[in-house]
Amino acid sequence: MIKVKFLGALAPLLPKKDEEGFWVISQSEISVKDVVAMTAAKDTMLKYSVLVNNQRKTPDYLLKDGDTMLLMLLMPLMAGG
Amino acid sequence: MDGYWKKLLRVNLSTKTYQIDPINEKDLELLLGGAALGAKILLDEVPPKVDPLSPENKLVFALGFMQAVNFPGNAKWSVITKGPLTGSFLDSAGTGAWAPQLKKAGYDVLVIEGKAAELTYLYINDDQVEFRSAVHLKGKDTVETSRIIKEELGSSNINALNVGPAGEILSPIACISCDGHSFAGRGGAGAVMGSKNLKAIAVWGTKQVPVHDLAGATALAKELFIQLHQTAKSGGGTPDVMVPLEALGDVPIQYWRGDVWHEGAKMIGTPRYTEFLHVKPLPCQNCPVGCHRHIHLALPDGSVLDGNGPEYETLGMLGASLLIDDLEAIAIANDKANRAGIDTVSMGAFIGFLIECYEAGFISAEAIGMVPKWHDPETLQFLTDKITKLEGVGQLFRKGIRGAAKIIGHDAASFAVEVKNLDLPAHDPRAVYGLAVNYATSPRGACHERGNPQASALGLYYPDCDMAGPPERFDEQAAGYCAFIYQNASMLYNNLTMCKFMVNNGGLTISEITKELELATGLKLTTMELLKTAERGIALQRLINVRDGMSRKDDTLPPKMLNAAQAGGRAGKAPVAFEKMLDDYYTLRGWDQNGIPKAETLIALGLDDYVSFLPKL
Repeated sequence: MIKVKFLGALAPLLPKKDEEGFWVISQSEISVKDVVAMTAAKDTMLKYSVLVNNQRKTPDYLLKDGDTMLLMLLMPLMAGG
Repeated sequence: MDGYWKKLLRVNLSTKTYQIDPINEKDLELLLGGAALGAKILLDEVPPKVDPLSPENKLVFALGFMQAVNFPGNAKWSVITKGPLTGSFLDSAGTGAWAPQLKKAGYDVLVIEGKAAELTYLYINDDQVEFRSAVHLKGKDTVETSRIIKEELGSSNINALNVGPAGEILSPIACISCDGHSFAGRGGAGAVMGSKNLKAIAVWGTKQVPVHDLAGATALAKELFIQLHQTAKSGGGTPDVMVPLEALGDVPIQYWRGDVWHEGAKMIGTPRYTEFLHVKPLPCQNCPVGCHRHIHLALPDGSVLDGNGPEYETLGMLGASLLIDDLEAIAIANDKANRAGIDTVSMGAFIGFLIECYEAGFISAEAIGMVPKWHDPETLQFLTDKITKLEGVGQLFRKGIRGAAKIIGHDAASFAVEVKNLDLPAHDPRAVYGLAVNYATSPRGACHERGNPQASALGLYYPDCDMAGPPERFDEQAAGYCAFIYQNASMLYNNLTMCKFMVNNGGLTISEITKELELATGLKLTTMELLKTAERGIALQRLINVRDGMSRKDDTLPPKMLNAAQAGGRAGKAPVAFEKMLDDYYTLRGWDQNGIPKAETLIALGLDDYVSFLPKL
C-alpha cells in the first residue's frame, strides 16, 4: 500500500482522497512517474518536486509498500528583487 | 564545530586599525550565523538608541556555514546594523561572490566600527586589511565603483561591496551593492556605510575553512546542484509572477488603492518582459536557479541600457503602483536607482505617495516641480532623479516617508503605506492575512523577505517541519501561525546565508539543509531544532527593537490595508481581525500581549544571558 498526497495548488489533481487527504493505492514497486501518470498532474504546467517519506526523489524512483509520496508545488520566483 | 573559522574581523575606520576576535562556539551552535549572529553582536556591542548614522553605530557583515563548501545558493551575505528608517534593528541580505570570498579570507563575521576621516575603501586580502583612499571614487555609481576597484586591485575576480552616490549623501533608502549586480536593498544600510565614509569593501581569500566531512559535503553540494538545476527552471525570472499575482490580488495597484490591473500586468510581466527587454539569465555564483535578468535595450537617444533588469518588486512599485505599463520607462528608472544605489521599493512608494498628496491638495505642483500623474513615465523619471539625489522635492524623504508626511502635514500620514517607516513591498496583505501579521511584526519594518507568507497562497510549505499544509490565505485563525512559521523559515535562510529560492523554487527541503549542516559542521539537528535557531534570531532582533522603545504600538498596519477591494482576487477581503491575529502571533512567539519576549521564552530558547535585559526595557 502506498499513500499519495498532492499539496497546495496540486491537491485538486488527486483522483480521490481519504479523510486525511491521501489517495491510497494498493500497488507497490511502481515508479513515481507512473503514479503521476495515473493522475491529472500528468498534464499540469505547474512545477513540482516529489518527496517520498519526506526525502526528495526523482521521477524514476521505485515506490515500495508503506511509502508515502508527496507531490509538492515549486514556487515561481516569488518575492525576489 | 567545523564549517566556521570562529573568527571575527573587527575594523575600526576612525583609528585605521583592525584585529581578529574569536567567536564563541556556543553562539554559533545556537544561532548558526548570519542575521541571528549579527543581531547578537549588535545587541552586545551597540547601546540602545544610538543614532544609526553616527560613528557609534556598527556595520556587521555575517556569514553562516554554507560558504564553507560550494553549497547551492551560498553566494549570500547578511548585513546587520541600526537602520536609518526605523532607528532600530536592520538586517539586509545581498548576493554575490563576496560572501564565499570573505569565508576564504578566513572570517565568519566582519564588524566595521567608527568613521573614516575621508572617503575610504577597504581591501581585505586574507590576513591583511588595507585602508585605501576612495576620494577619487566620490560620486561614482555602483557599477563604475566596482569596475574601478577591480582594475586597481588587478583582478576582475575580486568582489567589492559598495555604495553609490545615494549612500554618500546618506539617503535613508540607500543600498549596499555587490558589484552593481545585487543589492542589500531595504532599510538603508547603504546610508550607514556612507555615514562611515566607507565607499567599498573588497575581499579576496585563498583559504579553506575546516569542514567536518569535506568529501561528503562536496559530493552533496554537487548532487544538490544538479537536482535543483533540474527542477528550478527559472523561466522568465521574478517577472514571471506579475500576471499570476495580479490575479490573486497581491500586486499593489495605484499605490494600494486600486483593485485590478489585468492588462497592465500583462504589459510589464513575462512573456512580454522577456521579449521587449532582450533578456538573458544572470545567475549568481553557485546558483542553479538564476533568478536575475540581464537586459539589453536600445534607447531612443541612441544609447543602450545594458545591465540588471527590473525584478518583480520593482515592476510592482514602479509599474503597477504608479499605473505605468511602459517597460522602457521602468527599466530606465530601475537602472538609475541601481546605479545611485537606492531601494526601488521605497522609491516607488515615495512617488505614489507624492501623487496622492498632490491630488489631495496637500502639496503643490510648484513644490514638487511638476504636475505628477499616474500612468506617466515623465513623472517616474523626474521624481526618480529627485529622490535618488535628495534634491528638490526629494529632500522631503531624507527621513523616509514618515518624515515626508510630517513636513507635508495635513492628513498625509494616513496615505503613507509603511510599517515602522519601511514602505510596504509589492505584496498586498489583504490578499494573504498572514502577510499582514508578518509586515506588522517584521523587525525591520514591512518586509516580504523576513517571512514570505504570500508564497503560502500558492502552496509553499514545509512538510518535514510538522506542518499539515499551507494555511488558507483568508483564514483569520491561521494568520498568526502563518506569519510565525514563514518568518522562521526566512530567518533560517538569513542565518545560514543561503538563497531562499533554493527551497521555494528548487525544492530543497529543510531535511536536506540538516544534512548540509551535519556534513559541513558535524552538528546534527532535526528540522525543528534547525527552525529553533531561527526563533532565537527573531527573539534577539525583537529585543533590539524593544530596547529602543518599540512594542505592540509599533506592530501596525497602514490604514489603507483595512479597505477591501471591490473586484479582483481579494474582492471583499481585508484583515479586519488584525489585533486578534497579532495576539495569536505573540502567543506562538512566547511574547506578552505588549509584544515583549517573556523571560521564560528566552530561557527556553537558551538565551538566558538576555533575561537580564528585560527589567531594563
